Amino acid sequence: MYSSELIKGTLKTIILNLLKNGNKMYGYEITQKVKELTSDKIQITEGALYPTLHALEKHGDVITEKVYIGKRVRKYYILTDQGKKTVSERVNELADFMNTMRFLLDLDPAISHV
Amino acid sequence: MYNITDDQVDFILDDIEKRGVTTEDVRYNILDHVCCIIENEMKGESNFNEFYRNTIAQFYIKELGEIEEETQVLLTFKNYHAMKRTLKISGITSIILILLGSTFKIMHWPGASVMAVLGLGFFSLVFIPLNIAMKFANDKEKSNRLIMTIGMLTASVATMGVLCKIMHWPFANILMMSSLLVFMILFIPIYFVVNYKNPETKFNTIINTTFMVGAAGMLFALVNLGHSSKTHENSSKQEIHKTMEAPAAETEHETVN
Repeated sequence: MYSSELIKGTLKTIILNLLKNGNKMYGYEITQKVKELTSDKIQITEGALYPTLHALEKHGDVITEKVYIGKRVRKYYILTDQGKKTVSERVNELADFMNTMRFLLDLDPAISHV
Repeated sequence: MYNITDDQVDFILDDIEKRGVTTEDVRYNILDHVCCIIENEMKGESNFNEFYRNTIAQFYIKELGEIEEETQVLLTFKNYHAMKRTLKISGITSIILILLGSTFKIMHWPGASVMAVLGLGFFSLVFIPLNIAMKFANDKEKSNRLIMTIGMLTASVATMGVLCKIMHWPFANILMMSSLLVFMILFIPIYFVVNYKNPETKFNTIINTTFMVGAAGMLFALVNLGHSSKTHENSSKQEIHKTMEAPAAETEHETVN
């Protein structure tokens, strides 16, 4: 499992990327999906997930849909048009960053000229 | 799959609130998340209370309120810093302009009025409203917000009153009198009642209230005296004469006794 410092900087990108293609997901579902896709290597903590989801909602990258389950309210998160732009920007930025890091840390000599 | 009862949902929601999560949206998000974990991961023979305690403990490092704090920081972070910077700049600018303006005014140098208008205007219309906005961003307590808003608004109106007075503009007295009255009748009592209850702030509240009553009282007296010195010269002379006589009469009365 990776350290929370590493995950923190990429959390928005991970969440937004999961929501692309019109998927609507709720908090618990997001954590489970990430766990499943990364074979438990990335476990998003609730303490980091919900503040980030609220921030994304405030900035207009996602909108929410409330579903009432008995006394509970489940909030589904859906990507907005602005969010779609943000996700492509963030994914490109992260990919670029990963390349730079590879070069900086001298991990892959094949692309060290980048 | 474990089925959570309504009572258990109420219990969890209540517990989350007690642990310091005050924003409704965050509270319901955590509630649903905890319920999902319990429903999907709790084994039939486990004890609900114990499982809940262990589950909620995974949500934080020291206490659950961290999620609330982190959310607030992320939501207000951007505006907060811009506001804080503007607050500092506007505060310093208005202080410099007010100090320079008053010095120039006393020395009868040119440019005093421009500086006073800019300084007091900036103070009253930018610095004070920003202070109210900052209070709303920082403090969730309604009573604190109310006190701050009333106090700051009266300060703003009083500053405009002072500005009008200096510039010999109309409405100076009404602005100063009304703001001082609101300050004394509304702000000071509310401030006193709210803060006196708190043992930590009790002593400071008494001291601050005394200072505020004294300062507001003196200012009020000054505003009242301001316009009567020349226009009602005769009547004020008469009043002085009366007050001079009164103690003399009293002393006579005492000697008779």
